[in-house]
This record gives sequence, C-alpha cells and structure tokens, in this order.
Amino acid sequence: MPLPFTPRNLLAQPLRLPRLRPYAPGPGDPRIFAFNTEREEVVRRVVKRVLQRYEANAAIERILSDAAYEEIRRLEKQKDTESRESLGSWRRLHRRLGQLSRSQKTAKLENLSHEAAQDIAGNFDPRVYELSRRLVPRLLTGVMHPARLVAEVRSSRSALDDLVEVQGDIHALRRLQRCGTLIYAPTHSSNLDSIVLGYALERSGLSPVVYGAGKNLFTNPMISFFMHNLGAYRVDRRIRSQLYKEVLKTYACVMIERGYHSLFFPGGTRSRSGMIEKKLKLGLLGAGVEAFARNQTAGDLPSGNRRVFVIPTTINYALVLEAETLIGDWLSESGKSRYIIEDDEFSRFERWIAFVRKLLSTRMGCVVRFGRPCDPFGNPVDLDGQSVAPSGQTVDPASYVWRGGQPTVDAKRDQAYTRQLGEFLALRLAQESVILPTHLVAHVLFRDLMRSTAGMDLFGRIRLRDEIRVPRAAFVSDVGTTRDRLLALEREGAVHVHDSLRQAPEEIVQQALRAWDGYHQRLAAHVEGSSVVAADPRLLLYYQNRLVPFAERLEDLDGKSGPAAREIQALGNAG
Amino acid sequence: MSEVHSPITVGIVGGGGFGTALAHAVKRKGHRVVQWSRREGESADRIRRTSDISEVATGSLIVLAVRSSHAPEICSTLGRHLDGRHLVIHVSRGLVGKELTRLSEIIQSRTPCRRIGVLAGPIVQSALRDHTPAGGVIGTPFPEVVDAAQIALAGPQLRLCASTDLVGVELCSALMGMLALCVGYAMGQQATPAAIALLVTRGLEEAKRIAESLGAPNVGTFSGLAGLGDLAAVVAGDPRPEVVLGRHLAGGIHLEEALARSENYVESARLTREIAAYARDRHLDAPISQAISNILDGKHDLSDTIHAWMAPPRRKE
Repeated sequence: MPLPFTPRNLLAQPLRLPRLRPYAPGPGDPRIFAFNTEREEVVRRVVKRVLQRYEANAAIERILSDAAYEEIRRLEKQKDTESRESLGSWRRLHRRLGQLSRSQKTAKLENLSHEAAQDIAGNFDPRVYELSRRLVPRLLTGVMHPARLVAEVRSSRSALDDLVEVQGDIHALRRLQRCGTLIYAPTHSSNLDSIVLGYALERSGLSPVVYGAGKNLFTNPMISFFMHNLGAYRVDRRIRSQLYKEVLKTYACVMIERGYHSLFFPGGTRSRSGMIEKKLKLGLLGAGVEAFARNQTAGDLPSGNRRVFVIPTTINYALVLEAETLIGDWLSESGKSRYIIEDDEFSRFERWIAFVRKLLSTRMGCVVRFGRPCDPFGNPVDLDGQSVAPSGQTVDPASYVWRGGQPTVDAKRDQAYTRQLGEFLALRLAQESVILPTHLVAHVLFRDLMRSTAGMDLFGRIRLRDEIRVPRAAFVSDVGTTRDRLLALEREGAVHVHDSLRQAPEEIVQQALRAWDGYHQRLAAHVEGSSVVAADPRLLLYYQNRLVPFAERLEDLDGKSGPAAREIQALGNAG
Repeated sequence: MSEVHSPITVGIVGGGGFGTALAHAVKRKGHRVVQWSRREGESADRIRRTSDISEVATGSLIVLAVRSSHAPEICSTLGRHLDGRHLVIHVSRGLVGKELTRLSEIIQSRTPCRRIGVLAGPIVQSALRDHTPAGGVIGTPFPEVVDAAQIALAGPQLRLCASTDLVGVELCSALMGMLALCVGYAMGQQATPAAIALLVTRGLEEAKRIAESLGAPNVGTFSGLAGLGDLAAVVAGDPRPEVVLGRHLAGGIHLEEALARSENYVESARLTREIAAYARDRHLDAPISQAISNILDGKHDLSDTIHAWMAPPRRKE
C-alpha cells in the first residue's frame, strides 16, 4: 500500500535509484545481485507463511488484537505525525475486531503482514555496491586524512586496509558460500560494526550479506541510502507486536532458505558493558535453524537442500566509538529501558572524524575474526561443508530434523536447537575474541583499582576519577605477566591475542595510552611522573570488560590481586 | 496412555541393575530392547544382550545407564555409531569431574546427538522390576524425546511427567541423591522427624544455591517431582541405595564396606565430596554437603555433624 504523498513519507521511504530495465545477474555474481528481481516474491512468501501460521480463527483474532493493543500503546506514547495518521485505524480495528467475519480478519492480517514485510524488505543495487566498494574507503580516508589521499589515488590500497585486519580461514568461507547459506554471527559493540564487517567481507572476496538494521539508523539520508541499497532490511525496534516480530523472523528465514548470506548480531543490540555477549537473542538465530529444517522438507526454492553454516565472528576494536555512552548506559542500569540510544557518538559526525583519525594515527584499528564455521547444530564443518561429529566422522545435518522416518519442521524442537546453538555460540565468541592492548592495559589498571578499593561497590569505584595511582615500573611488569598468562590461554585455545601484544610490555602500555589520548571526552588513563593514573574508571571498566571471562585465569588467585580478579570475573554474572 | 504404538527398538547402554530393570519395563510395553554391557549376557525374549556397542544404534531411543565416571569414554565410543536421528536419555544421578559436568553436556560434546533428556525423580529399580506404581520426570526441551520416553516406558503403573528444564532436572537428580544419603544417615542416627524436616528444608535450599552456581536457569524445578518430590519419597521410606548407604554409615560401617554391600553403584558417595570441594572453592554456603563429605571421609564426629546441621544459617534463608 503506497503511503500518502507527504514530505515526511518521502524521507521515510529510502531512496532508490531508478532503473530502465531490470538488472540481469551474471553467472558469477553473488546471489544477492539478483535480489531486486525476487523482492516481491520474497514478500509474497513471507505473507503467505504468516497467514498459514495463524490459520485458526482464534489465532488470527489473538494476533490482530495483540497488534492493535501494542500499536495503540506505542503510538499513544509517541505523539508524532505517525501516531496522528495511524492511531485511528488501529483503534477502529481494536473496537471492531469482534464483529469482523473470518474473511475480513484474514484480509486484515494479510494487509498488515504485507505492509510490515514491505517496510522490512531491503533492496540491493549492484551499482551502489560497486560505487561504495570503490569510493567509500577512499572518501572516508579523504575526509579524515587528506594527506593520504594523494597516495590513495595512486595505490590500490586504502588506509582502511591498515585499519581493519581480517583473521580466520577466508579460503574455507569462500568455498562454503558456494554450497550453502552463510550466517555471520558477530559480537556487537558499535554501529560501525555492519560497515566494518561489510568492508571486511568485500576485501576478503566474500559475498555481501543481508542484515537487519535498526530503523533509527535510516534517519540519516546518506547512511540510509547506502544501507538500504546494500541489502540492509529495516527493523523497527519500537514495534513490539507479535505480528511484526513474526513477519521479521519469517523474512529472515525466507532469505536464508533462498540462499542469501545473512548477518545477525546475536547479542541483539550493542554490548553495553563491552563484554562479549553471553545471553544471546535467539529470535533471528532461530530463523537459521528453521530455514535449514524447511530446506530439508519442501524448501522455498527448487534447488532446496541448501546447507546453512553459522560463522561465529568477533569484531574487536582498540577504541570503540560509542564507549562512553554505552558503559554509562550499562552502569545507570537503564540499559533495558533505553533499548535504542538515539543521541550517542554515532550520530555526531565530528566524533566519527576524531575516531578514524585516532585509529589512523595510532595504527590501531579493529580486528575482524571469522571463527570456524559450524552447522546449525553446533558441529564444525569441513571445507566441503560436511558436518564433523566429535569422533571426526562426518554426520548428516539433515538427521537432526528427522522424525518418524522423514525430515520435519517443528517449532518447539527448533526452539530447543536454537537455544543450544546460542549456548554454543556464546562459548565460541569468547574463544574467538582477539585481545588488543587497550583491553589488557585497562584490565590490569582496573584490577589494581579494585584491589586498592576492596570492599567498595562498583558505583563507588567508578567515581574515583584520577585518584588511583600505580607505580609505573610495577604496572608495566604486571602488564607483562598478565600478558604471558594471556598467551598461555591462547595456547589452550581459550582466546586470541593480537600481535601487538607480543611486543615489550612497555610498548604495550605506550600504545594503549596513545590510543586513548585525545579520543574520548575524558582520558582513560595517563602517566604522571612515575605513576600511571586511572583517570576514568568507567572507560577502564568498559575496555577491560572484554577480559572478564578470563579474569581469574589471568591472575594468581592466592596472590594480592586474587580477590580483585575474582570480583572482576563475577561482573560477568551481571551480564 | 492406553493408545497403542507400533513397537520401537530401545538401545540400553549399561548392564547394571537399573539398566536391566529399564529393559524389562520397555519389554513389558511390547517394544524391543538391545542392551549393551561390557560383560556378555544372555538374551531373552525381545531383549537382546550384546557386548558390541554398535548394535545399540539400531534403537531410535538410546538410554544411557552407566556410572557417570565411565560415561565420557563410553559416549566417545558410542558416538561413532550414532547420528542426529537418535534420541538419548540418561538416568544418572552423577556429575563428572571437579567442574561437576552434567551428563547431557558429556553426551553433547562426545556424540553427534543433540536431542537429549534425563529421566529423574522418585523412579526406582524395584518399582520398574516389580511393576509397582512409580513416577518420574523426563527433563528435555525436545518434545520428541518426551514422546519417545512415554511410548517406551509410561503406562498405568508408571507416570512420566515432562519438564523442559533439562539442566534443572539433571542437577535435581544429582543433588537429591546427595540429600537422600544425608537423610539416610540422619535416620540411622535416630534423628527426630523435626530434625529431618529441618535437614530436608535446609538441604533443598543448599541444593538450589549450588545448582544456581552451576547454571540452573530456574530453581523452581527444585519444587517439582525431580526435587521436592524425590525427597518426599526418600522421607516416606523409599529403600533406595543412597538411603541404605547413609544408614550403614550411621551404623558405623566403613564406607568401603558399605559400598560393597550395596547392590548398586551409588553415585552420591563420590559426588558429595566433589560438591563439597566445589562449594568450598567458590565460597558457597554449603554446610550439609560439607558435613556429609566429612562423614564419607571417615572424619565423622557425630556431635559436630548434628551441630552443623542445626546451626543457624549463615545468611537468611
């Protein structure tokens, strides 16, 4: 249903470039290049499946009444143009629901699902992809670091190449993306994540992905244009109705079934604490499990039987653009209510510039690490996409969805599988995280702060700005021993340590201090005479939180910092 | 429950008393059993005994009834013959190693199977064998595992409830085993009913604390059949091996001899000490596990033990 022609709607509708004739995908093109030709079909499928799901009369009535209730609640609070325009029709629906005939209800549900699916569905324009592929890294670099631009034009490398380091078995992923649908499941710390990941994929010769992005990110027309035309679909996190969630999940599911490589942030939202996500949002991961099961039965494509691979991925920043807002939010415990942060550093362009400039000058950027791919049941897969059982033998992943002699789709079962997958992923994400100097230095300093303030609660501690000082020599040596323990953990396969941590401890400390210097509004730590000063405990807490799962193993528990390490590890239980 | 199902094949891993009692219960419902044990055994009508573990894989439902300490090795071997189709249930009251790893974690990490459940609650060997009324809980998030267990075992004499909290039911089973030992000991000491009530109530709270630390998502499970229900059966006089062992210890019989007298392997004897050590390491308040652990170590000074149980709790309960 086209929206009425108003300036607001013009802006709300993402801009698409006109096209004279449909894009004809070439044989070697990634699957997503053909998306626009399938877009309507995908929407149709989604609507059809939602209707099937709520076939029973009672179910239709329940889902419609829930949608009306939730939307009225939201719009009454929102009090904007949108609420003025649509509140009335929701209220009417709510009043008249009991009197509607069966077919009227079905029509209403079809209508609403179609609207929601249209709103969610993304777009992919190969021309925009080409454009951003060629220009964006250089434009970004040019804006932020003009001196490099001359060199950039001549060389094929952009400065971003130095900033984004990619680790993992790229070769395996290139092979797997031909025999199945890849689902990247990365950690989420910054709104830059999807851009960084998209860039890492492109540079590694991997196909672009579709992903859900919060609708609030589409408010900036420039960002919106690129996001929308590069396969992002819009997720309106303000809408709480079951129907909307169902449409969203079904959309994700249909896309995976049809072979579109996807990106889900299993943490759901940016990690407020800076910790690696432990409690994962299972909704969209569930789409992966369901899509696999559906492909084993009927499938949405005749090519059916496509496999689904999940890639635990970590995005590790030396500096996080939004660190201050995020940790502040976590500490103020309003994290739950402020689910969408509108006014953070991400929306302020000058912070972007400071951020990237900082990254460039310190040569510390971010590390994207692709972990070993697995099937939706947590079995690692080999280069041919075969699932490998603990014994080393291959196991047919289809066997997990068999029941009574045939493959089936079963919502309860798939929910149980999804929960298992979530637990498995949480473990893998911790193992795949890459520790950088800012994490380690913040950890050692924060541990010292905890030790010298034993008995104080966290909120008292974070107020101790510029109060805790540690003799520099002792601090550097502490960083050295903790680093060595970290390396031992890496040998056990518990975590990854970045190469920048393999240098002399003095250098590590320098590098971290340089990185913090002048980026955040406050310094995290600095040197004064022969002491290292814990300048802003909140920032230290944020950066060190990456090491929370390892705190006890990084310290001699019977030693002087043992209790502090234990306390830090216990932070992990608070989420 | 009277609906008729076409016969299925159930693979039972383990030739101990409980495994054999299960085999008979399954056979009684008209199904086929393939039972594996290290020792050769004689096959009977519809119960095939084998020492070749690969034959168990002919079952669509596999029941693991081996000591927890053997489980990792057996699962690794068994895992080679299974795939994602197999549904697996274990009946263990044990937890493995210092980290108190649950059996379902062992099965999940050593076999390709994912659809896993636990059979727990006041279900005992004698009831299965003699076909007297009994009840139990199947803990699993997978509906097909519940269905398979119902088909294989449930009947008018055996009521099987279902819980989706696999972790909770497993931890209940292990920790109630420990408390049963404890109650057996108290009974052997002629403790008064009030003292036993106190012990059980305190014990249940302690079990919840330990379970929470081990990752139980919902301690409400401890108020169900696998927790409180299981303890009620103990207090009502269920002559289960843990209780008998506790009574023997109270009577001054040495642990080695008490274990030798038991017809079953009693997981709780070793487990209690592991639990006490786990609680100590993590500074958990666990006086009851600590006291039983001391008794098992032969360090039992009766007045100390009773004192520990009756002492006011360190924190509000």
